[in-house]
Amino acid sequence: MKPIVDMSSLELAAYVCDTLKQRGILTTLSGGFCTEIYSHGDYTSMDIDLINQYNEDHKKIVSVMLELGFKQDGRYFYHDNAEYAVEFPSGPPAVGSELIKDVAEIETEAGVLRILTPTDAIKDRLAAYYFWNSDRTLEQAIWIAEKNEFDMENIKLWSLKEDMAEKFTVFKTQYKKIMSAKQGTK
Amino acid sequence: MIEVLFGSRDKENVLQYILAKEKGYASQIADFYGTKPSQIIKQLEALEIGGVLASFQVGKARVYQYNPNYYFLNELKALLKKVRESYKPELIERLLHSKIAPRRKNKPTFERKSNETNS
Repeated sequence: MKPIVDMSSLELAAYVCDTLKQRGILTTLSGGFCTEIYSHGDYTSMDIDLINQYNEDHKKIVSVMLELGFKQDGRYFYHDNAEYAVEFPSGPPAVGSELIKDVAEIETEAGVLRILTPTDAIKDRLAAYYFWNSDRTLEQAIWIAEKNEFDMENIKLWSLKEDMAEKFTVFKTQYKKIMSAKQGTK
Repeated sequence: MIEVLFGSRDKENVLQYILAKEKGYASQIADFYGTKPSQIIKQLEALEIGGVLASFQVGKARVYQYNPNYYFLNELKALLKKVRESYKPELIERLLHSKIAPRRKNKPTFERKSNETNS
């Protein structure tokens, strides 16, 4: 195993996620770092949010993180040789009122990272746009959509269930506009 | 009303305030209920760690809102609305209809003097 200082942020997330999984603690990457991975660098986050899937005792997580050389500062864990902070938001992982059941996996040299699928990562960003009117997260949802295969119909049905038909139309229109502009330039 | 479920009256108050006003920060909520900001901060932080609330910084204030990705949010809000119906009418009125008056900068806040608490 390569030392943490030589790991990319993706490998670091995978290393922590995989180590915890081996100890019986299931976590799933969500939030800003998920956007960073799927937007291929259009967005930069500085923290890794690993959702504590079944709300395992936080003390168990603290014990593993200290063992891996991290230091705890409130909710965050820092490592002297890593730029990114790691946080463990409480589970269950959800987008709006929908429980996330299927997750994607990314294999790295340092371990396997459990991560929201691109479709759920878009919904995660859209939830903040839908409920907080955050244009910034609408933009992030479009970045993910531009660069990954996803299920637009699934997002539409979810949006209708969340009573957000109008805002879904805004997302879809902006996404299509960007994609047509891209195709026009090819 | 259901502090036994939430573990404290302050936590119930915080949840009700943010449900009614959509967002809030510690001193605002503390002013509303006439309690200490430190007690409210403790509950806000616990609720954020638990994924119920999410916060963002606005100037010097940390503003809290419900986390739209909290899986039990609809059910929690439905419960809180039912609980609110059983509150005193004056409190319901203040929660639902009172506008928050802008507070003058540096305006002194009311503090109970120590000799008052002993009387």
